[in-house]
Amino acid sequence: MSDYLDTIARAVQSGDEKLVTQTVAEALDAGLAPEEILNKGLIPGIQALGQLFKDGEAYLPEILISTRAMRSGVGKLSPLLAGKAVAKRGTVVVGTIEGDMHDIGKNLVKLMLESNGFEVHDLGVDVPADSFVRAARELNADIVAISALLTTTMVSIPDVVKALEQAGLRNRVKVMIGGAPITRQFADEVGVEGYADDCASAVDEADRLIKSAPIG
Amino acid sequence: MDTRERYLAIMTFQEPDRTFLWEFGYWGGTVRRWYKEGLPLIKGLPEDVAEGLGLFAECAGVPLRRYTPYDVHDYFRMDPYLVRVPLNIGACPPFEQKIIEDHGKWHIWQDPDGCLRKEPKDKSTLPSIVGWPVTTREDWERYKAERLRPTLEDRLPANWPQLLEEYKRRDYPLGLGQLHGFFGTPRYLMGVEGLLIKYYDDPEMMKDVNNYLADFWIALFDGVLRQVEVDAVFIWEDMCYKGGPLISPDMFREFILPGYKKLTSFLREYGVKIINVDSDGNIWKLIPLWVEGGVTVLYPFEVAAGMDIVEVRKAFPKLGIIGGLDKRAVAQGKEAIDRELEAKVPFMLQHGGYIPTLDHLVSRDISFENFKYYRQKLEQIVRRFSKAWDRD
Repeated sequence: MSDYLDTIARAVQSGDEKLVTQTVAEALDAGLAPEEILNKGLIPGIQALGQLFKDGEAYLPEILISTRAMRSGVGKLSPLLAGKAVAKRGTVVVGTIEGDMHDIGKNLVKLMLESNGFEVHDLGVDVPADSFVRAARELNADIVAISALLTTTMVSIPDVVKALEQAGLRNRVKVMIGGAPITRQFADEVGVEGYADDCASAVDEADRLIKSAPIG
Repeated sequence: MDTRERYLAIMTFQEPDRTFLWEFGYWGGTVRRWYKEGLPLIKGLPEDVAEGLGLFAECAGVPLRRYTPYDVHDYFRMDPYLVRVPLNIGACPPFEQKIIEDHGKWHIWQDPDGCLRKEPKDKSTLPSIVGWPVTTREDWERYKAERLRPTLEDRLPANWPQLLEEYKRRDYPLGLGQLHGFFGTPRYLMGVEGLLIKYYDDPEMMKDVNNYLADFWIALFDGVLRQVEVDAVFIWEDMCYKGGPLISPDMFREFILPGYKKLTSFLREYGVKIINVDSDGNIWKLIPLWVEGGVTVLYPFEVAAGMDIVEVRKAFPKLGIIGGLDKRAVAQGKEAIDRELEAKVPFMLQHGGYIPTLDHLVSRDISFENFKYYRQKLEQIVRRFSKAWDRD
């Protein structure tokens, strides 16, 4: 049985979409539970790729083909998982800050979070503070993840933090940020809990935030 | 030395009288801010120059965009501009510029290269591209046949004969190339994500794209170089972010390096010794590959992305370097400016092959007062390391 799971993990890691789809189908035919295929095949595969990325041994094309392969495998499992209590790692609202139209970094973070078992809601680009707040409230989000590409737009991040405070959500919603001009120092200065250098680190950071104590 | 002689001497590690007093460029919003803070408004900027529009300065060359920040140039008595041959190397004939969707505050419009740009109508920020002209092989075959024909027809301005005469008498450096590159151009054909995945999905198509682009640029450049001697060629890539290259060095070697080698080999036959590449982000891993591909100058070395020009100079003693001075230090104030300049500029000038500028376009968080201090301090250091001083 573990042969199927190993093959699925390796196929996700190498971005072999066809092999992932085929082996997931074979694993199901062989009687493996969809939860097991997800948690012991697909997710370990994308995690291994994430580690290679963090180690500088994989690059963005590899992230794109692996997350595509992952989505394909999850797509096969989704109808079978519907209605079952599959543990998700957390709910994340992502978006690019108001005034900023850039979405590549945000899209990559979304892909990696989804592939690693997070429920992700993408608000798109040029997102005003009140839209982050509304989505966080309606979706009962654990994390608001904000992307900014420009030094001129990153200064709007504190507006989102303030709006979450004013809405009374700040004690249960954590905020993480990233983007070309963003640094850990800036994250500390504007009072947000999370910062990620890249899309693979964003998964670790989101995981850390979920496991960390509530704010305040 | 005149400007051209100085440029050639700096960039080929000869003996210049001094380095240039140049900048890379400014955002439209920065120049507007400075007008309010004391920059004399003489030539000004047209109304339609957006806050988020990049305005290139001396080392990037003119004409690169429709607008040039001449008031900044004049106020700081910068050295004369590098000039670029106004050769259109984009889609020709260009795509019709038109509004595709109107969403009130913002719209999506088609640009001359066939990209769909989502942009606020007040142009308060940079647009994002949401659609590209090439997805399939058929798209690519059609695009190159219809838009990238290797002929100068309609790609040079009507006053080309007069420009040629002017170039022959010039005392300034003349550059060839606009915003194009072996990664830079395909990203505008198929988008960054589309391009990155295409290297895996259709490697043969990507090899054809880069081989065709190399031949296409060679054909256009050959047409120009037969008529006028140029001093430098410019390639734009922007293929790195703060975490490093967008693609692996192995992928660069497989798909991109052959085009560089082909193009630079051709350029060397015409005696073009200076090949510039512009890439933001952390470029460390790609520098050896660019050098192997015949590139001689890199810029702008973004400090926030982890680039340290002193370390680059130590690792690559004969690589031309432009930029590398941390714009964030200029935003902070005098002490930070002093630290940044003293730590880098003297070392770089002692080792040659260097033109000091900030590490990208000057951002809107830099006050006119701080920028003035930075330029004064920089000029003092440049003077200290000059053999001759012609600016009093």
